[in-house]
Amino acid sequence: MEVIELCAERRTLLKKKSKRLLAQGYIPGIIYGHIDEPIPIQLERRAFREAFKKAGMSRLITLRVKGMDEPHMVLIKDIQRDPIAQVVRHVDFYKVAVEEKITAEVPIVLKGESPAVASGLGILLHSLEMLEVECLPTDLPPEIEVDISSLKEVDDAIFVKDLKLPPGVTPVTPLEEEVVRVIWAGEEEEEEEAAEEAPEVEVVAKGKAAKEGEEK
Amino acid sequence: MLMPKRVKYRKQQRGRLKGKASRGNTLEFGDYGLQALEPCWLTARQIEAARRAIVRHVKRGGKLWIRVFPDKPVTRKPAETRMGSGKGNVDHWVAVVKPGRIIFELAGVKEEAAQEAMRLAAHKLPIKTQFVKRIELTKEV
Repeated sequence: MEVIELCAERRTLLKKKSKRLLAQGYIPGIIYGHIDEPIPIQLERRAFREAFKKAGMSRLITLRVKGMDEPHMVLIKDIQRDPIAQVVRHVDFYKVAVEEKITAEVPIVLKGESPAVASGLGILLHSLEMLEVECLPTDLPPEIEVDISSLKEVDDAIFVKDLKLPPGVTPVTPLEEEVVRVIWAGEEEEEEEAAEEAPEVEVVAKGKAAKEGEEK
Repeated sequence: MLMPKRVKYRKQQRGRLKGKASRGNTLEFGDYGLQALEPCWLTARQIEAARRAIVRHVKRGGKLWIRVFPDKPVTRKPAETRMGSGKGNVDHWVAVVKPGRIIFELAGVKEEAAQEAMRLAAHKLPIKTQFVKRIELTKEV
């Protein structure tokens, strides 16, 4: 497997001041995990984008921090985004120990075509996009493929317990969780001309009134 | 129109609309959505009008989620009434929307159809909005 490398510098602008970095084309981040002390870092946005495209959140990255001899084997643990612009505002890196099991989120990729969807009976609802798994860092799969050709009828579903995981990988997400389901594609949202007169809203007995009611 | 079935208190204070939406700001169900870019009180009528615009355009095959609910009562005094004598009667219901909030989500349709449906819906709303689609979590930066 290809080794993904990323370079970073130690960050001197901490806490709220780190917002200034975003304007300069850097992303603030931090390394924690199997490390003596967390290291605040800053990354070039372009370099991070390239590495993230390849690694996602489920592949190990060799992170070199300027001024430190040893590179860190890390996993992207969390990404904060601006809710409107969707740009990355902060990245958490988790330093792994090769011999110790970790939990990580692996993307679920749908393969094939569901006959129910192809025939126009239903639409596909992909409710679980990331699966949380536990395994050794070296066993971590980049993605988990799910074959959806078994979804032949409306309401057919695939659950976490149905997934085929590589050896050494165990799911942390509850087994009963739904991954994908075919739902009915009919006109659910009927055009109803509801009465314009709003019905009265019931008020739950409150405060004094409730107490008086109890006393009586 | 959307409104609560029962409430604990009949009337509410107005409150303030500060900041951005910290919850309900990501697509959770569908592939496409309509995101608010400004703060506002969305009335039940506006939500209903936008919903109809979407449903009418998408017709069969789509699944729509409404991610806001008008649970805040707004009171109004009758016309030509002198001030005082307490708070008015409940007139309508609104949903408090902050920038970033996803208002509608849509699945099971092509991107062009979703975009057009959301454009039509946006015309029924009193705020600026943007069309959003599910980013590939592992790819976009």
